[in-house]
Amino acid sequence: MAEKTLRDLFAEALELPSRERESYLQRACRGNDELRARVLRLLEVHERDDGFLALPELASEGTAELGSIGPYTLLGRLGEGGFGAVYLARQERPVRRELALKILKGGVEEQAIARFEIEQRALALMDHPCIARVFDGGADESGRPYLALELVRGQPITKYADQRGLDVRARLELLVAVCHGVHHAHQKGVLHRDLKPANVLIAEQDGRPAPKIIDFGIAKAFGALRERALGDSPVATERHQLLGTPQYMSPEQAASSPDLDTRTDIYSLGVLLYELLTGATPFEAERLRAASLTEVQRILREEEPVRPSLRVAELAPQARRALAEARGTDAPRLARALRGDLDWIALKCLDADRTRRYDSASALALDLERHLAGEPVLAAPPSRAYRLRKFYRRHRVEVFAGGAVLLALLAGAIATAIFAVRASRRAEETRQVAEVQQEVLAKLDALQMGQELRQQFFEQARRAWQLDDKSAVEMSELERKLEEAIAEICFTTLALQALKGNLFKPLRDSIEKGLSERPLVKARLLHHLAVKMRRLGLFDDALQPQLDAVRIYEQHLAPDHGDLLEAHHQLAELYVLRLEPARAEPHVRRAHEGRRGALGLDDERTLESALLLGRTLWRQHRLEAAEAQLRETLARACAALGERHALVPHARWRLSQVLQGQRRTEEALPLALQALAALEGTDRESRVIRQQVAGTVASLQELRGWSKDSERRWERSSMEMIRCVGRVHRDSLYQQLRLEHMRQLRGAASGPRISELTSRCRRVLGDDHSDSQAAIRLQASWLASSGALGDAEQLLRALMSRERPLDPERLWEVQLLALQLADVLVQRDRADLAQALHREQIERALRHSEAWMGEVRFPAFFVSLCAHLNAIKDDGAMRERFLRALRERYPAEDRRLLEAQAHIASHLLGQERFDAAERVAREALAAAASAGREAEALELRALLADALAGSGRLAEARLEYERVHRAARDGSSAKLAIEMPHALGYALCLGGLGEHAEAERVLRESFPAFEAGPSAELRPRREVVEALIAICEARERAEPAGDHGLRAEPWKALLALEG
Amino acid sequence: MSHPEPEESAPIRGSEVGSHLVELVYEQLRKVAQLRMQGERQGHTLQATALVHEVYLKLAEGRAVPWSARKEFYAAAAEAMRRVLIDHARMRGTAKRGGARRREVLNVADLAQHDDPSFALALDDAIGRLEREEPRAAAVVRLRFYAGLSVEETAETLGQSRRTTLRDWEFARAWLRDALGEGC
Repeated sequence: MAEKTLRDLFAEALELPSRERESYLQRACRGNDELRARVLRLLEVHERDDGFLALPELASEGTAELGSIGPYTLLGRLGEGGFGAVYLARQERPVRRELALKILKGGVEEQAIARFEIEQRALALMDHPCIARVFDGGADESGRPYLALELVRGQPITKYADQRGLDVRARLELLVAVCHGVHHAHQKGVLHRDLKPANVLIAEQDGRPAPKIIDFGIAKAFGALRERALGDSPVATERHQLLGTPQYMSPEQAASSPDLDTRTDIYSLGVLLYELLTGATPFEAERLRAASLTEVQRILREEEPVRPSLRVAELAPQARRALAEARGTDAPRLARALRGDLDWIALKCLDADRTRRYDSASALALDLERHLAGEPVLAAPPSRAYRLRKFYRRHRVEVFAGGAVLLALLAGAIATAIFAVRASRRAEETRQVAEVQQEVLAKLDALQMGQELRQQFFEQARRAWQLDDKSAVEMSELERKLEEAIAEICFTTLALQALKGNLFKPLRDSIEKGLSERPLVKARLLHHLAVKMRRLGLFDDALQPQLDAVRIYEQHLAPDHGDLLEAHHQLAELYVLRLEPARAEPHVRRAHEGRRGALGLDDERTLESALLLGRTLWRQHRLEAAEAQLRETLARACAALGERHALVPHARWRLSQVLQGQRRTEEALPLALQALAALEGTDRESRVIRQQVAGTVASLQELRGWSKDSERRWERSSMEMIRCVGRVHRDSLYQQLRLEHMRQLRGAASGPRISELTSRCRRVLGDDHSDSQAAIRLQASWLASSGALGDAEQLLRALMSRERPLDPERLWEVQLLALQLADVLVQRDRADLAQALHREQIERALRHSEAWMGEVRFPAFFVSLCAHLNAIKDDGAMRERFLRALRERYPAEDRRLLEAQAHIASHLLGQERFDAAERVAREALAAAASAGREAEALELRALLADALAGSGRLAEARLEYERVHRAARDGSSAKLAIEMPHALGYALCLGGLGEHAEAERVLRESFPAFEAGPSAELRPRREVVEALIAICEARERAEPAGDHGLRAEPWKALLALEG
Repeated sequence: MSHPEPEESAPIRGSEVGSHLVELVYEQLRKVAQLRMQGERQGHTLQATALVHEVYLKLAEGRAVPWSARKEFYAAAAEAMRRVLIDHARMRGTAKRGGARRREVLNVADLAQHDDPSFALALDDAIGRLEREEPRAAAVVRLRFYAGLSVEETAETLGQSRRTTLRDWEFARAWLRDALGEGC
């Protein structure tokens, strides 16, 4: 036992009755008489307390510690708060009662006392059973301010609830009562500002819990005094609060906001609710205590509390059990009770944006009561879009005030001109009006208009602030806040909407009304209007005027008239952009044939239509036809217009996209690169196209395997696109989406970035746009990967349940969505639901097979449908039904059927169902080989080889691999797509047969880059490296003495590095 | 009953506190204290708690004072207050002016107005000696006496229990009384 110190001996002896001290010290000092004597002396000094350093914190007069203050006799000390001490006191007159007397620390100036008394009178107005009464207040003769309060003997609400093991319902009922009390005070204009368990006491009355809120408004009342003491600093009152406990404090209060309102108390009630439910405050007290003031402010402002149910779920099992037991239930039931309503109610209170909290304590009480009664609650999962919509609603009037007037004038001017020429028969005037309109429209630039609107918006705000006499500092602060608030608002979109409503619509109306007798003028104006709207991305609005223009021209012009053909061409372009290529085809053919006849094959305009025809075919996935069409167009354009003509790179790019669709990556890539190099224009349109081409290049490179380079390329092209068209343009959104998608694939996604992008897509493109859907799926996938499975499920379900017409073009999106949802369900241990979902999707696809087997975006649909098929556990019955349906529809050698079979075979391989894979692959291979479909045959043969190798028939597998390998070496077009995995399969197979030298030769041939050893630049897929290691090891085992060249070690190290 | 307290957090020594912070607090405290000592109502001068809280508020204003730095702040405040008192005492001269008894020293206000200015120096010296023997008890005294913290606040600042703090405090009081002798 270590030697006890003087202090310890003193303290321990002090605990004992005085007669036992001597004998204790005798023992404890173990013969050290000097030490014993010192302790005894100190004890003696202690007993004879003469008041030295007695530090009576209240009685600075130096008289007795307890005495009287005003009319009250102090009986004892109850505790100490941030402002002063609380005493138990007795009042003699007019009634004899005990009460709590709160006395401010330190002295204050007399003027402050007056303000204090005003505050205290406001407090005295409160009269509610749940609020401790304020009887009296003021200052005694020596200027000490005090408040006389109702004496409450109770326990803090959380402690009470825990000690009595109250269940969730009883806890909520208590809080409802507290809310009513808070609401009462709010109606009297009093904020609490310091709601926390220590201030919400539960006493028992007639055996029932009776909540009493103490210290209501005290902070403010005493704060009024402090303010004076500190020299009228307006934020001092709030600053004071920071001496308190930050975990119950609203963000605005922590930020010393000068305009606190009732919602700061709502926040604190939310913290109470949270703590009653989960046993912890939303942000840990420890963490807040350790943080700097600015950090605390940031946490409260920016971090979203974990949902109560999740918070409980995250506890260690033992703690979770204890928590549940204290709530009279078990852990799963508790989690269920919290999930949903209570999560959202708590989070609604805790929203950093106070406009999104309940607007009153009674609204909170009502929602809690609704929950208790099993009715739907107001609180809902928070959505980011909500805040934006709210802001947008508040400000749209001002936003449009500036722009709209201008636009209305413009539209008016054109309309007037139209009416003016209506009577005129002079062709000259008609032409002039058309030109005016065209010129006006040509100058319209939604992006620029958006910028102007933004500027006007700020100017108006500044004017308003000036009227309010804001200082320059305040104004710049307000401006910064405003800037932040509207960062998400797309002014380009606003401008577009303004244009739609205020220019395009009135313009179209006046054209329709004013020019019914001048059909050709009318058609011409409609045509230009439609083209302009299309260029601005208003595909829906552009359609009708464009159709009208074509119809009118058809009635009045010769079939080969240039204007008519141009209208057909533009209509086709519009249809292609609307992803309705089948509708586009007759029009583009009309334009192409008409121009070929009138202008010749090599005319620029004929070639433009030829190019558009190629795109139309590509969009219909008629890839062979598209390829032929584009190759011919490219050759003609090169010959007739020269390499430098803009049409040439354009045609190359489109051709590369077609080849990409055919998986001929190696051919596609040089074409795309050539196109990229040739696009030189510096105007915005050329830059946009260049970025689109860059996108194709990047995705082609992606197909050859991920590399840092391709990601950088996406990054660059996305940045450039943003510079060209803004962050919110559909083209740049697409690029950003691809980039995020790529990052997500390699686990480097950022949640905030994705959700920002998603909300932008939804806003700019609308929820139904393919890219928005892709963005939402991406967000769901991010949520799922970061563990928020519930959120992911919710998001996906909401998307699934959207009403949508049966659009064959977009069936694949639903399929993909369902796939993702199923994945989440499996992760949430609901494999049963996932299975049902897979089944439902396949049934649906089979039911509507006529719709999608036609002209759909085949591959996308197909890949996801096959994935559903492969996920189903039913011994292949569904698969057979599906293949049967395909066989009924397509001839055996059809590319789509073959592709489906390849997909299915490859999934079966993944499930190690080698026999089934072999059957499917063999059947398809026979069909492909007999039809001379080399690329498909090669891939199917490789799959067959994999299947054989998988079932251990290595000799047979080797033969098939050999053929694949040879064909690939010969430079087949499909080489790249299949080379890597299958060369490895081949090598593994050889290794398995003991032919290590041969295996190594195959590896060296197929992966020259591997010879250089592991490097950061090359990141082959994990399984490839693993296969490589297996071969190396097999060989090292078989020939331990040989010189192996390729060694397993460095690859193992690489794998270890990659974790 | 007598098991050792689990907390082992290092006590605060005046000399260890960041000198910059001490300077800052000292400057503020001195100003406020001077104002207060110039003929204000007796009993309201130099009350450590009020002063320290005020200075804290002043310093915290517009600055990011870390929550964790409150510990340092109070330590700095204690150190600064000690210096204020010593300076004050030195200014008044060290001559003994008659039979003041130490029981009148209930808090820093009393110390500042103690009939014998040298008493402040003697007390400080004694606390220094206590620190060598029982550093934690000395830290409690500094915080309680110079910074005017309550037992609870002191316990929180030092990261130890209220009971330990109270025992430390009782011990330190007895120790100091013993060290300063009965009649000074």
